[in-house]
Amino acid sequence: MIPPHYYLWISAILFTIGTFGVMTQRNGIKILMCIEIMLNSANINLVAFSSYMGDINGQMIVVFSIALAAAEIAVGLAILVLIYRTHKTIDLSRVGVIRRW
Amino acid sequence: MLDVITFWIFALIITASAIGVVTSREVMHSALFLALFFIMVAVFYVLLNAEFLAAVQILVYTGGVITMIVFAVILTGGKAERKAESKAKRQITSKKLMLPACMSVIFLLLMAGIIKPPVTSSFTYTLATYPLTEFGTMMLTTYLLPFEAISLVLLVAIIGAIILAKK
Repeated sequence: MIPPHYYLWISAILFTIGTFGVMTQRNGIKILMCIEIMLNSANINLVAFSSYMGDINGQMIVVFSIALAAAEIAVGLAILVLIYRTHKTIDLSRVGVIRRW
Repeated sequence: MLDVITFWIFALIITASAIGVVTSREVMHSALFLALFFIMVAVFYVLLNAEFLAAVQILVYTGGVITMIVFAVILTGGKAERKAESKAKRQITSKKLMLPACMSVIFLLLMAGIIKPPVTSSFTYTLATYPLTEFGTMMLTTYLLPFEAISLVLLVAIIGAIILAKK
């Protein structure tokens, strides 16, 4: 039997990788991918607690979380395509409308 | 014992694919690593006896999100831009990575301090399995309002994405 805290370990490691990616990447699509990694690691946590504690609410929350993540990435990618059309780049450090460095 | 070994093999694969998403230079490669990552998350759901969520994960993420990401990469990925970017990236790499790396390590150590293994190692765990009908009844009774709200959110997101992309 796999102890439940193993899932928490792997989820923490994946969340850290996602955070590192969000902090370091400059490509907009890659930042969205790292956000997806973070969301999925949180979902692993929820499902692990739900299965080990015998409470179905955690898995229901994961269903809604998946739907929200799909909506988020649809809008995010549309915004990125729009940015590419106006700026000819998706390097977010060079999209200097608000930030000037 | 065997299931723990299986777990660590899958954990190794999922960590390697997540690192691949972050570190690979081509955006298309990281999109494919992300597909592997999503499939491995579904494998973890199967290990946790959540087969319905594993199916949803494969359908929505590997089927839908990866397709969208690949289309976005194709629409935005220019050759000239990639060359200029990689040249600029090599100059700043080591200096700019230090602070995020330190912050990530501190973050991981903080979480490692929070996660405690159970005190009694002889305790036996039981994994709960939920039938699909239970999800259906929960969705239409307890979670009726969030269910309708999420359908509205999805509709608004789709319309918003179309309006943004057609502008």
